[in-house]
Amino acid sequence: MRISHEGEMDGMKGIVDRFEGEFVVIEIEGQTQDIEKSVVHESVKAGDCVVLVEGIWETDEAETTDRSAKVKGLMEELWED
Amino acid sequence: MTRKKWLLLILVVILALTGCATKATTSRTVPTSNEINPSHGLQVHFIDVGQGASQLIIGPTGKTILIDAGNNDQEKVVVTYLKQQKISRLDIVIGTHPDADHVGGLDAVIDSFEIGKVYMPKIQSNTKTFEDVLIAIKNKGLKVSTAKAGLILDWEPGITVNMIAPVEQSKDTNEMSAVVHLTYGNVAFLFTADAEAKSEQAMLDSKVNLKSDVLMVGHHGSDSSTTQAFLDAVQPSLAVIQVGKDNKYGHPKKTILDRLRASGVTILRNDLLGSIVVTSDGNEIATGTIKLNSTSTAVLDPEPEPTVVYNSCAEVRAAGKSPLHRGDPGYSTKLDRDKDGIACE
Repeated sequence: MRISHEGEMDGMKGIVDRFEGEFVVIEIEGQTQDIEKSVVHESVKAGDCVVLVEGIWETDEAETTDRSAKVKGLMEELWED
Repeated sequence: MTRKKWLLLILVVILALTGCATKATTSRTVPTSNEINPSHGLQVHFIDVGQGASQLIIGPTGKTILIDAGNNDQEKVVVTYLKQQKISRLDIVIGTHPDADHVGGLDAVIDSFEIGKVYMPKIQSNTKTFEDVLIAIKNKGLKVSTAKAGLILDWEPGITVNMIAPVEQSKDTNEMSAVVHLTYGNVAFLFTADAEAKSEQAMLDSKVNLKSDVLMVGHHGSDSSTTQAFLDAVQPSLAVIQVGKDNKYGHPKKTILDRLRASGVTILRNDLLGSIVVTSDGNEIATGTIKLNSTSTAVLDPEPEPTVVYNSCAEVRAAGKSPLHRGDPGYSTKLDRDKDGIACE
């Protein structure tokens, strides 16, 4: 592993909360962090599960699909209308 | 009554370490955090949660609404604030949209208080923060009602609470923000969450009544919100901006501050004033600020939760407490191997 950006290391995982100006807000281990857009792949969208590869946050498609299905299931269970 | 006639009083209340209050006196007393008196009418608290949003509304008969609860790391601040207001029940909880800086603290709030109805727009976030909110709702046996334009929320007699957005379905969480218009006598409040230009236009097109004396400025004062057309329709005399000190996003934007000033609006900001309280008797509005002493988080948490530690699920079962849900005394991730928020199932 190598240090890539502000102490973050390759292989680190996160979930994109939102885009805010020049930053992408990524939830890492339950806490949101402001990550500069320059180190986030341009194809990344809000809701993506992301992983740090050679200093760039990229979408993990399989994990995103799994996670979306999991949260969607919870929502379907809880919404009454 | 014209807005010019309105009395606008500023009271600064500094809560000392001991919790006792010193007041800068003015010609009129404004209720402070530890002087809840139903006869004072309506209280709207814009809780200082740093870069995030949270508003507590207390009606003349003591009914409550909580809109959002700041970021995850602010949940203790919000829970403590509510306890200091002697809140035991929240009749309505609104998670305006699933972004972490708005719903982050809601799981702790739901765990800590009796909850009536929960409203959230039907839009998904995949964060653990949002999932935790859903798990807290589920553990409490609550359901979620879809937040959308056209709802009239059943709350206090004499106060009308209308949900006026989201008008349209959007893929953008901000544009799906639940927006609340509250009318008490001759006074109205508008809570806009992170609604941006597109949602503002949809509200304008829906011809709903937007006129409000107090505007919670959209999206922490970002220039993606508070369009001139929207501001012209709202015509506020007072604007509150929920924004954190030295935030990286540059909120509030100068364009928006200039736009508000040009409209003659008084601006109050959480980053400069701490928590802001606006009260009203239905005719006049008065404002005050509450500054919690921020030298230590311990000050903000005068009633620490009792510490319960279980070393194993065997101990939990022996105590007759299994299963443990996240938020229960003694719950720990160590006991929750599959990390689904339920330990020792």
